[in-house]
Amino acid sequence: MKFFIGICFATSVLFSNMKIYVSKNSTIDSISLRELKNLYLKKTKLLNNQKVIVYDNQEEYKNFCINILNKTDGHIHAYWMRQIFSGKKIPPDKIKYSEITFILKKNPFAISYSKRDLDAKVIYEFK
Amino acid sequence: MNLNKLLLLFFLVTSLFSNDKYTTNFNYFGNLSAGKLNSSGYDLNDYNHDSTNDSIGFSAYSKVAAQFSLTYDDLTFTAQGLLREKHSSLTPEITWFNIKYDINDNYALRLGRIQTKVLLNSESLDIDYLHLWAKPPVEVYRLMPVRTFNGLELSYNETIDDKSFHISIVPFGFYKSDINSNKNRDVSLKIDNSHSVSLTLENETITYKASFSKSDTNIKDLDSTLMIVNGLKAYGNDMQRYTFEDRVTYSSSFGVQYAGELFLFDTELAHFKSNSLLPTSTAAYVMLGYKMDKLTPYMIYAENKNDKSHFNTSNIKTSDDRSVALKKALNDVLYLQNYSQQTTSIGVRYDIKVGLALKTQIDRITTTNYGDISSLSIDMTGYERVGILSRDAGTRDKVIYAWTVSLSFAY
Repeated sequence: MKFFIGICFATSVLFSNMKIYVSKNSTIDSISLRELKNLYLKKTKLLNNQKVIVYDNQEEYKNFCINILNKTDGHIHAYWMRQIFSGKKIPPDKIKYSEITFILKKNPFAISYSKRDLDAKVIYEFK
Repeated sequence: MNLNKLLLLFFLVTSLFSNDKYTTNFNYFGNLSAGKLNSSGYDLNDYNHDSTNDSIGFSAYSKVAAQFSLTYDDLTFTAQGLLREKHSSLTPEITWFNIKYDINDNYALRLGRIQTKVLLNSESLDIDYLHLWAKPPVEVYRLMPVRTFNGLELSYNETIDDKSFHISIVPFGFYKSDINSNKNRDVSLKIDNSHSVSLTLENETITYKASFSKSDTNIKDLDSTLMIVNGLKAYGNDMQRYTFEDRVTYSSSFGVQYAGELFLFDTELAHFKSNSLLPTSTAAYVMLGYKMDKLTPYMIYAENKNDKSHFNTSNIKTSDDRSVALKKALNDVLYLQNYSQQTTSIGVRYDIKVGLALKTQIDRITTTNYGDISSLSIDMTGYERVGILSRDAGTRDKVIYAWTVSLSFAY
């Protein structure tokens, strides 16, 4: 039975869409794909003129790079190496899935992502 | 400060700032490389590292570097140290040591030791993993004798949709370093009053970069050169441009980089002008690569052309045998300074995994000489040519092949 539930859960996560989350208390209601890319590549720190902090989800990072940033993790690695070693930017912190809800609750201007359902506000869903 | 003390300091700093308010990052990169030329009597020189000759050498392009950054709100402190073997001993270099203040989303100020932005890949030149090539086109990248300076940098960034615009201005900069002139012989270079501006426009696949810089440069002249220059000055000639001391240099460049799904393309045109013994020079390269999953074959053509008028001494007045002999000696000195050359390269890069790549490259190098040199000068200096590809006395001028293999990483 546990095995069957496990398979069902894994399948639902595998085929569900990537969602971008903020805290339920956040004033941010939506985000465009371009804004999301620019925030995750640290081309800007602002969303609606408000400074935000983006976090990568360790477990779903590769998927996020391919689907949202439209690059392989190898391309994104090279991008960050270039930014880091030219003293320009540092990549977003990578956090565990279990930490996302806690971090979003703590900071209304924090953004992260997951395919799983979280106790947080969805501001973008990749279909 | 030895390496143990540096490491101790690093761990102290990181433990002090392992606090929620601060973000710390530690990264490293390196390159294990071997290279050689196919013929004896030649040396392939670069200002910033050891030369390559016909013995297999590891020191020219091998290096290891670590970077620590500490971010607190809008302030970022960055320190980067690079270790490479130079003239048979491990030499540490501090390549970044500065503090950056992000005034807002667009403006930033940086103070301390900074890397130059003068050429398309100046800032990332040491990070071999980021480049397709196993060995950069020296015709262009040897134009700049230094890669770092101490000073202030103001920058402005603007991002609109997928396009980013970046302008960087250096109102002042200075630096002092020993550079490898040729055959692993160092000369001391001092740079003052360095000013530069660089503009970058990029989207996800194309980067355009243009830059301009002006610096006061000072290299100690050789006694033999001073004797010739002062000798001809006594005959009423203006000889200022035939020395290295207290000179002004200008450089400008324009580069384009395209990174598509399959094709990679880089090109750059750079111009170096100095009112010194160093010739005014125009250099360019074109690189094309084709991605086949993990394997990327590529080819590069690079050329450096010194301004021919620099070698023309017809306006120098002579009135007796002594002045004629001094002028001939000056022509010989100028002949040796010529570093015009062309390189055609083929190579292949294999991406083993994210952050690790194996590369190999073969270069075919030819040189261009202007005029000729007396056998007396060849005997006295021991050279037929100095330049990027130097040639020892008694060595026949011919096509030279260079081979480089490297394992590059960045994490």
